[in-house]
Amino acid sequence: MGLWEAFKRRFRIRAEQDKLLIVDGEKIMIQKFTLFQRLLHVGIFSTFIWQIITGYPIKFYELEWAKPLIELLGGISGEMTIHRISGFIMFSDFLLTVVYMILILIANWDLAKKDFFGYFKIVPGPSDITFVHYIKYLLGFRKVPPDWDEYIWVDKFDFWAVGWGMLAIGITGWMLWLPEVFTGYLGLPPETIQIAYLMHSDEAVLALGWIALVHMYIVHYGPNKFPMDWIWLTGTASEVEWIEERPRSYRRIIKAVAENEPHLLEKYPFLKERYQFVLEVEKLPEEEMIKRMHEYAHHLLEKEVEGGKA
Amino acid sequence: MKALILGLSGAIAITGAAVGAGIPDDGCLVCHRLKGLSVVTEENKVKNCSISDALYAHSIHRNVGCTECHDKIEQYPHKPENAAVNCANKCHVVDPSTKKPFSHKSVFETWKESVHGKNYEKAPDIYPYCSYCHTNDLLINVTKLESMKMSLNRCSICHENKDWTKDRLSHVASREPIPVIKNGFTHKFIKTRRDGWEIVELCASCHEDEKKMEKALEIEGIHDEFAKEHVLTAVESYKVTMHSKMLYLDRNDTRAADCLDCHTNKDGNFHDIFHKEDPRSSINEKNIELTCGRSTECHPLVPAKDMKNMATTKWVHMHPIPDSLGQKIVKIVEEFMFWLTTGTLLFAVTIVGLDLLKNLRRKH
Repeated sequence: MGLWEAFKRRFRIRAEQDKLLIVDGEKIMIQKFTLFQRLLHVGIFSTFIWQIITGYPIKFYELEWAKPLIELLGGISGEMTIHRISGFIMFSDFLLTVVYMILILIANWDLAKKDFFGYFKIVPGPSDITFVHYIKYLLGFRKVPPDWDEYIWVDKFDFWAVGWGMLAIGITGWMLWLPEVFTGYLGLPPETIQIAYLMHSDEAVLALGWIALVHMYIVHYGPNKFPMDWIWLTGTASEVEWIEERPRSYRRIIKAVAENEPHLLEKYPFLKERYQFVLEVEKLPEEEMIKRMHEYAHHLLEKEVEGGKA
Repeated sequence: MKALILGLSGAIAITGAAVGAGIPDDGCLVCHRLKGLSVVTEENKVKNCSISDALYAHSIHRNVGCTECHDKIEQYPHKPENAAVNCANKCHVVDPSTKKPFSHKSVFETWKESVHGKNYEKAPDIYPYCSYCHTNDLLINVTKLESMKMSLNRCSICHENKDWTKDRLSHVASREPIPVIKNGFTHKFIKTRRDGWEIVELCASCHEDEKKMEKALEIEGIHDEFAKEHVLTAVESYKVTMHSKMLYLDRNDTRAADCLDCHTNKDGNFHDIFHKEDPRSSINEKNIELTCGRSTECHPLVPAKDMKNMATTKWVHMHPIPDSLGQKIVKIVEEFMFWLTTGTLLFAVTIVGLDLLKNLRRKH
């Protein structure tokens, strides 16, 4: 096998049918994140926590807790050392993600040319009309949630916002760390450091505000996920969750299994049942289809609960 | 000022007590040592005029007679308006380095030419005189500090008069803000007994007083809107910088720049504070690089590598005042970041609130 083939295999976008896992011969799970993707997330959030602990006493220096926290961190010297090391790791994590994305784009260029948004689902595209449906749903102009695909609006927002955040907070962090390099050796104008400071400081509030309000609501303290969505650790979601939260993706995965690995339908009758259900609901109008899928998810859940009791 | 002795509580005046304590007080302490000796000022405020002879005897000026500095006092009781101190006077103390009578005259002359001194005569209630910043600090008792005792013993090997040696060492050691002792040695003799944040607070006590600063601007004839804003927001815009936050949050860490670090010249006498346009000013365009790199704990690369852009950055006074194109851009960025943050967080609160309501209703 040539080098290009090996590279392509390593970074090839997973086929839809490969996302379906059959556990113990009777249970369907959907794999959303690979191990590497989960590790990237762990790198970002663990350093983010340290950046908050070490950065916020500086931002809100006048509040009562700032001084004791700085003392606990080993004074300004200790605080700055931790902040910089943690920031370095965070930025490296970001760079690794950028390199990873570029490699994926190169390895899947043929697919990108064919159907870019179809294969690169994390990129905001035409399917994000679902966000309009979501707003309509929240405001009561629609009866059911949208026909979400694999990545819902908040997944995309969180992913790309980190990209913006790394420019706004990461690069400015470097500037504040090494002002002599940027304004001295690189000759950037004097205003650069002032802008860097303002952006670094405001972006920190923006980042924590968004993560605490939206991200944590979606994955932790929201009524559907409390106390936690374990997907960050396991990488997989249950079938019921997937039908309810990402119905479009669910239908595509089931159809892909049926079309590309028909022997599995023969081996697992419950898969055949799912396939027939998908074909049936796809004939319905969108809102009706979502409603039926939610009912089906509840039916599966009830069966699971009954099975558990038995 | 209507002088009024309010209270004569405490001990009965003991003539000659001060002489007994070894203070060349010219007889002033006969009255001033009385506890509760006060006057009512023209502003109807009670001013304490009592002096503790015990504290005075252990102060920096312990060897200087009262009238050597309060040189306008010629009669008893003296007029309150004659109580002012003249810090440029020569006193009877002989400077051991020159063998001449000691004087603060050279520092006084610098102050007189500085932004603080040049208009002092016009408005003595606005501009700070020496005594506004300098208090008659107590000496450190070196015999009570283990590490100092060790130093004293070493000094005494050559300097036989132990009292003289103790006095000299106390004088030098008193420059230490708080005698921090590490590994048995006192360390870091710094420019002033105050730590960085105390210096900021001292400067802010006037510069944060908007009324006072507006009067000063009037006296100086500064009417340009942006120039006024620079002066009026000086403290506020310094306090949000890293320099200020470092000093405030960790009082043991004196590396960050306080007001004096930037507004006085390297190797100067810490009183040479001039307007930015004055070529003698530490923040003048031709001196600013040297000021940024005044110590190895600051930014030594700035003067070494001629980093003009680094030296002229406004991050020592953060708020953008749009008096140049660069500052206008900074102002726009500041506004943009504010609205981006506010808008995003409002959106976040709204969407989470609506989603939560929807979920609860659905579950219900």
